[in-house]
Amino acid sequence: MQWPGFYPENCPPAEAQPASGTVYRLVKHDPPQSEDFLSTWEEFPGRFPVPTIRISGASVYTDSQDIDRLKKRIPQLNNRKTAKGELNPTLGLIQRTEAVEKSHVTWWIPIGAEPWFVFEVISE
Amino acid sequence: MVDILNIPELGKLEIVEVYEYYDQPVLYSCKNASGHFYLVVAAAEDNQFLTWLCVAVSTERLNLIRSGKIDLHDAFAYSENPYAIQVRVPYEEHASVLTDFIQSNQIPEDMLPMSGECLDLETEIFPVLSDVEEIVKFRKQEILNLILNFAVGSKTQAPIAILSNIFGKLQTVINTIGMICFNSTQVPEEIRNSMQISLLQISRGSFNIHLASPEVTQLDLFDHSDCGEAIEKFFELLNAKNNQEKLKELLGRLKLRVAQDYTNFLQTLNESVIDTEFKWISPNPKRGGRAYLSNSQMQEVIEILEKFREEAPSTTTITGILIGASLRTNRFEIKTTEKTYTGDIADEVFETVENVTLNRQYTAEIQEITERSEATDELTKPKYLLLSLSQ
Repeated sequence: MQWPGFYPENCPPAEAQPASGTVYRLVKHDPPQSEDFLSTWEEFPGRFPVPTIRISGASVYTDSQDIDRLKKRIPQLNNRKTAKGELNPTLGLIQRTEAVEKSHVTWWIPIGAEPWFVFEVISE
Repeated sequence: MVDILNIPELGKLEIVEVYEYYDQPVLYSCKNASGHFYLVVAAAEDNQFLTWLCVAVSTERLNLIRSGKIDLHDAFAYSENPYAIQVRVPYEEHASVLTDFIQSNQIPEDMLPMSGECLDLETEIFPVLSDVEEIVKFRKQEILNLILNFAVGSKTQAPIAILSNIFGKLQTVINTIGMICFNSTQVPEEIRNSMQISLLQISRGSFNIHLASPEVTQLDLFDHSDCGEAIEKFFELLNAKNNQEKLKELLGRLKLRVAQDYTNFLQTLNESVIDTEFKWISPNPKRGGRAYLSNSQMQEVIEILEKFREEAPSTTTITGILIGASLRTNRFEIKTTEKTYTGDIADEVFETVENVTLNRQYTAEIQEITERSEATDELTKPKYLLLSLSQ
């Protein structure tokens, strides 16, 4: 897999696994578009001195309840739509990452992958 | 998180704890170089900006938020400071970050977390205290800081047996003052509850113990709490130090039992500390203060209190034969199996004495008064005053 040029050294980490399973992501568009899968580094160019492993990836959750809770707690995300997707190994690598939310997964998307095609909006 | 950690008005921030993460931390606590804590949430987004809300929080309030006692909505909508900082970070690479202040009560509802959403994290038992005044303001508690300078051992450790003894005696004297303040002859559960002092935390660096009165949901019109009343009297005693006249005046009002309990408290302190400093912070801005007692001052106060107790009148009930009663000289004489009591008749029992029969058995309430001789500093022979008489 070819990774974006801004990824720091050792990103994705060696412990990351091939993407698989059902995950949920909050998106702005229905159907989801490429900009719904930007990393924070890409979304805010020039705002960070260096990219870190975590802000190079995108967040997904394996438990939809965590997504529901996130929408209630984070006003920024309240208007986003919940999209459900089935990941497969061509879509990159994933790693369960430490967070207060138990089902949080960081997902590193390789160049050329088009993940928006495997996601569909399931709720507003 | 983007650029929010570099707000000129707040200084350089560093994240302390992340509570929600979505592509980046979206709900977190952070602190600046001077140790002030802030709670931050991603509040809104549009085509140009991601907007963050940032409110200052005391450590104590942060712990209440972490433990879920304050929900996330109220954490921002009713912050301790009446304003929040709004930081708008543009997606455009070279556009400036916009920072402005917004009145907490004017934050649009759609920029706040939903009501009822609470964190559920364990709270530290002894959090680092950032601002005691904030605790007082928020919980309406009286805070007592007790700095114990132990005679032996480490300044940062204390034997629990000594501590428990000091705490126990302190609670007893506060209870007793509370009892007197509320004209009770006992310490009923209601007074015990309102006087209950709790260990809030122990500060690092010295043996500084922070104690707190019960939380009060509503102070009275004058910002008074029951425990605050008792602590005020307690501080009057402390600040009287070894001033004999002042102590006598105070204890004349507070009764003998307070003298006894205050003596016990000081004796416990005196056995283990070189000196003690007290600080009282009250939700009532007119109250509060400091007091300091050195070991030698404690010793002097104890001696004064012991003399005071010796001299203080005590009342006893005796049963014996009335062998003398004179209305002319205003004197009585009662013989019990142990001794004969002779003394004056109080005005209020004068009428009763007019109708007594000599050489009959009576039960009498008498007050024993002992004084200290100014010449010899020794206690004089007790004098008795007949308070009541019945068959």
